[in-house]
Amino acid sequence: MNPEYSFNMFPHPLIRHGIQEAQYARDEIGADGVMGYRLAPPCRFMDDYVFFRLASDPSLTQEQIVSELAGLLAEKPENQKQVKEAINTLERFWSSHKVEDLETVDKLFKGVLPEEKSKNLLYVSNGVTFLT
Amino acid sequence: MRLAQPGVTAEQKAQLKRELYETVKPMYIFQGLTADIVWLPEAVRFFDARVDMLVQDYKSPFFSPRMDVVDRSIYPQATTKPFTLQWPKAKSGRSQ
Repeated sequence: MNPEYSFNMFPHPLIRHGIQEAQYARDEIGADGVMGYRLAPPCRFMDDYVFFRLASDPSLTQEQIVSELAGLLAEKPENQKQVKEAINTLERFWSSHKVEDLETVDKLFKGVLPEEKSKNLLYVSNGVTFLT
Repeated sequence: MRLAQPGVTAEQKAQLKRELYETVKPMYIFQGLTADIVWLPEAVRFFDARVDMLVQDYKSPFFSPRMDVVDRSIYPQATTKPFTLQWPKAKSGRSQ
């Protein structure tokens, strides 16, 4: 993928794909390390987190990564549940390309924004709004 | 995403772009798209062009729906030992 595509500024977690690549690098190639090309628009916070966590531990599951991410984006446990659903739905959107999935993600993120202080959550939510 | 859907008319596209511009304007993260040019008519034109590029990116094969599993059966067996590639294949009677 060309990392310079302007479209890459949007939240695009690629969790399942990342897990597969990380496990392939570990099990098939026996790589000692991996290198990532990191663009840094703030709304790509999730993408970067997923990549770097998998680079450090390829055995992580989607559930574990999404739980960690939700904990970083939202402080309140009830909001973390909603954020987890949003991340999983966003992950599904990049496979399905269904507008309804993206609209659901947008509503879920916007729903928790007023009660949360995280700027990363705000940036991710804004990125999804633009994408919708 | 709505702009990239099939069957969207030119009028609908223009309306969606106007709405998007107004939505994005107060956001902190997209100021480079909306606030760098202070003269509004020019800013909107540049914004429209950028949105068209984003739609073009989205429609490119790089962003097509992904397969969950990548078929790696065509990949060569990975090895850490160096070996000489047999390519192009040597013609008969000629040594490499």
